[in-house]
Amino acid sequence: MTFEPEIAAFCCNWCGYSAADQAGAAKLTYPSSVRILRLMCTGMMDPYYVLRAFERGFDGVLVVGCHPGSCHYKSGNLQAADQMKRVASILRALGLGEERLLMTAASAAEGGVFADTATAFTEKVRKMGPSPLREA
Amino acid sequence: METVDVSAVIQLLEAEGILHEAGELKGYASDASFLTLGVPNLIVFPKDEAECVKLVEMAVKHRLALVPRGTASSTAGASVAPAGALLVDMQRVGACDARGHRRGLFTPQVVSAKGEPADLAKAGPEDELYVRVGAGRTSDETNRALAKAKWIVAVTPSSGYSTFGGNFATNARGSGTPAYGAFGDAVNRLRLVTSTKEGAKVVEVSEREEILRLAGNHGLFGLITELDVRIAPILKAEEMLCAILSIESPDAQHLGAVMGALMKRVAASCQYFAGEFLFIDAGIVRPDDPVRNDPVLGGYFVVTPGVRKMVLVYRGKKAGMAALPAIAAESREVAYREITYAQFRTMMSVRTAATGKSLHRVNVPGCEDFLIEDPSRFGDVLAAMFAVTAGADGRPVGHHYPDGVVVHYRPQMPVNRSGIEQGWALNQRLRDAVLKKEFTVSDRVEHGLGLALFKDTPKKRQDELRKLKAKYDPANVFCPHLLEKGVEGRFVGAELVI
Amino acid sequence: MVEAVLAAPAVETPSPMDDALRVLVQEGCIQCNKCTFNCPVHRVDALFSPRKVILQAYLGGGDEVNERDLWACLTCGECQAVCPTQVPYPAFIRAKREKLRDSTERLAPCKHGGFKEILAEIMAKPGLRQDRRAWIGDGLKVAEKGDVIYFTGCMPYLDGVFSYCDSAQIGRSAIRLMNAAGIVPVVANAERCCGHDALWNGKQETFEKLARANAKWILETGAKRLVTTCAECYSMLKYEYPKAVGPWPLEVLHMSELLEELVQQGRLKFTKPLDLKVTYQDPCRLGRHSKEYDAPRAVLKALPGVQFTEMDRVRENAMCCGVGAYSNCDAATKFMQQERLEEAASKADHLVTACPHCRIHFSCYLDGKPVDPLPPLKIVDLTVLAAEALG
Repeated sequence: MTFEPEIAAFCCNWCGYSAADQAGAAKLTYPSSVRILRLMCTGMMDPYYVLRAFERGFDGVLVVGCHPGSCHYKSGNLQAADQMKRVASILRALGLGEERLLMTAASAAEGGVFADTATAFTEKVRKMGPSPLREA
Repeated sequence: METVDVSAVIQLLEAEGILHEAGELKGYASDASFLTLGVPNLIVFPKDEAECVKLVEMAVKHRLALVPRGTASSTAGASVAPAGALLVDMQRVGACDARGHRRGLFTPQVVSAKGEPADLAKAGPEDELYVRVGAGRTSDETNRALAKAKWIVAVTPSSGYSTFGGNFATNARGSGTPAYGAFGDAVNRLRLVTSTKEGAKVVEVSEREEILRLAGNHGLFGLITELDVRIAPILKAEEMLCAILSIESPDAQHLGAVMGALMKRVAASCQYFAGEFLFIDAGIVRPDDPVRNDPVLGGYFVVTPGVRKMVLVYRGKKAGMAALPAIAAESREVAYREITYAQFRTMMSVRTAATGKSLHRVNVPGCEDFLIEDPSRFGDVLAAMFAVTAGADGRPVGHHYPDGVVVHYRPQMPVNRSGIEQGWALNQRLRDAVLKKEFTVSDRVEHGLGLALFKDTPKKRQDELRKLKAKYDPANVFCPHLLEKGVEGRFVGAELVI
Repeated sequence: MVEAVLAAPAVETPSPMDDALRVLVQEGCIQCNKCTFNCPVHRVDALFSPRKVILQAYLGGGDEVNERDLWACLTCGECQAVCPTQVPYPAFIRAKREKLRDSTERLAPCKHGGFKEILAEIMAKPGLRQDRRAWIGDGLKVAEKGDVIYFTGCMPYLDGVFSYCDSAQIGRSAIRLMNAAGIVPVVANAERCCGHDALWNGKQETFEKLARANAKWILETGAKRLVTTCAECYSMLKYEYPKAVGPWPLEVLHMSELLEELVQQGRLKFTKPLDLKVTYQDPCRLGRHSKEYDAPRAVLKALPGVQFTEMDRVRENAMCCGVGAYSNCDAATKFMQQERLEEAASKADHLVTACPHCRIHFSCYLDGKPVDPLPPLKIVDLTVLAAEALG
């Protein structure tokens, strides 16, 4: 029996979340174990959220924001990208591996991109195996 | 006391932006006396004179009672509010920056007796100088600010953290009193926000006699906002004399007679800054306390069962104490030794600890300083005291002031209702035994003094208080309960444990 | 008393620890207010008063500490330092946090508190397999086994969040200094957070998990000494671990103590003049909590070209950096930090710290906008400075 990775997907209200919404409306499939959390902007992302997700037993964290230049708040997504780079080094040292964190972009019209990304990321994490932090 | 609509008052305070806290404020139910008139539900923290003016105007207009509160580290009970009165915490007044924050360090404003700016760096040791400070300032922080210039607040109460406003309100005594008097004697000028029938009025008082009448007011006449407080230079080691005198005797009456006579002669021919005594018994410090092994001080802690031992320490200027060695030599039984300032401070801290708490035991307040006007009666007082306290924990300590010998005893009891009641009862027995006219003893009441202001004060002072009240507080907003008959507090804990 | 600050003093009573503390607090407090007047939080927030909290708790039967009072306390110990009866206020607050933790909604506006807390929870998990030594870099010698452990705690993770500091630089400096004195320290991959924040924020269970996990690998190395550059790790490993894990045969040193020793033994020679005007911040956990005031000063005196001026409030009177156990950084903190940094800037242009967290908190303040203009001031770590002086 293959394991179902639990993925926390932090999506910004204006792009990522709308993309997920659109995917749902168009009935495009992506794994149901991808849990969507809506933020107003990925600029709100804090290392705390990523670590909290892993501490709670998630196997992977996805961050979906606007394309560079299109952030509703001008540069929140760029800030987030910098933050996530630093968080990646934390994840590496914790032995979780930085591949369990992915930051990407999907505009409101790109429901398909969202669904494909979510599916591909889930596969990648499935191959990595369950998070070592999962309590038995 | 009329009940007050707390939410209406809060609205008024919020409109003026005055910091306050509402709720079941158990933490402000008492001062250091552990007496309470109930749990307050509103306390205000004004930051400057302007906010004090607004508070008094509010009080006059809406018929509120105000109870000023400093550090509330005294046992007077006057910083305790009855139900319906507004507690006014004065600790921030004149001690904050524009944001309402205090700083740990500040630059003191020094003035002359005339109130003109003075430069401490250029001052001579005999200059009469004052710090102009907010009433919320404490002597500890002021001393820290003056330390670099090597000056000190002239009358520093032992609780360095009491506010100057509070020191004046209780007419506190402290280190320096033998030379500079009680706190009221060391204040040159004060500002207070008083009431009129219509609102508030800021008054500045600089006439000496009026200042002395106002001292010890326990918050009756207004919110004190600023004072000019006397400062004095810190004595250099070469100019200072510290000495320790000791005596032992199985007969407390005899011991007291000898020391009383000695102190009478010292008062007549010496000037000093501090004269403090304590009785030493086996348990005054722990068996492993390093002072027992001190080459100079250790000997004073060796006691013989059945023998009373008293130690009297003086500190003052060499010039003023020149007669002391000869006076001590007049009695064979008295041992005299000069000590360093550091050794003096060690004995002082032993003395403070002797009346303080040990683990699982509490000082029961209620027995205050007995002032013996004629030191030659000291023997009678000691004999009466030891007869009553035989077997109880605790030991007498006292001060030698130029105007008399002060002695007090605080029973140490376990912290529970029966322990406190027993301690209280012991205090009453002590008062009965010691407060005798022929002993020239008067009760310098401290505990609950504020609450008993009307009841226990001599008639002459009562009349004076009423006159001053009419002058400064015609609207009767400040501590109106203090001049009523029969205001008695209950012990915190006894009534309020949930 | 070192013991009293960190935990309940040994009191002969049949009641559990919390009750023993309550008895001590009730009986010790004489309501003199010295604590409150000394408290750095009270200066900026008049409503915050340790003395009031004690009376309130006494009257309420022991459980009534309101939320702000519970979490705004820095546990710095400035109150206990002046208390005439040594009421152990920080220990009292710690016990209350343990008891009341689950029933309060912690108001921590700064996410950094959350970050540190989650990091500790993660490191308490049994399945963790870290890869945490990348910060060591080249040219430095460490070992898997040896007599001396260099304990780093959370250090490898701090730069991921506190980007205005270089905390890993402290670690590299420490190893460089030890190598120069002929010591090859053990730096273990199995290290966990020391548990300081968990303990002080009332998460006894997390602290014990971390302590046991650390004790296991530490004792397996057979090392005789453990050195750390962090004052908080030091206070835990030296004073709390023996209580939590049983026999503790190692000698625990703060880096400043090791440096002082190495200089006295002639094993370290500082040859590069630094040409700096410095002053020194006594960390609460090294100073008041552990009573180590002298070793850092001795090290500063040994560094060439360093002009050292004390601040006005030092040693047991030192003012806290404004944050305790990452649980209470808010607007009030910024005013406290302004006050302390003004004092430092009036004495020198470099403020030396001996705890990476003091350095982080002060640097955070300088990285943002000071509430009032400040003369130029740099925050430097003692170990980093010492390594620079090696030349």
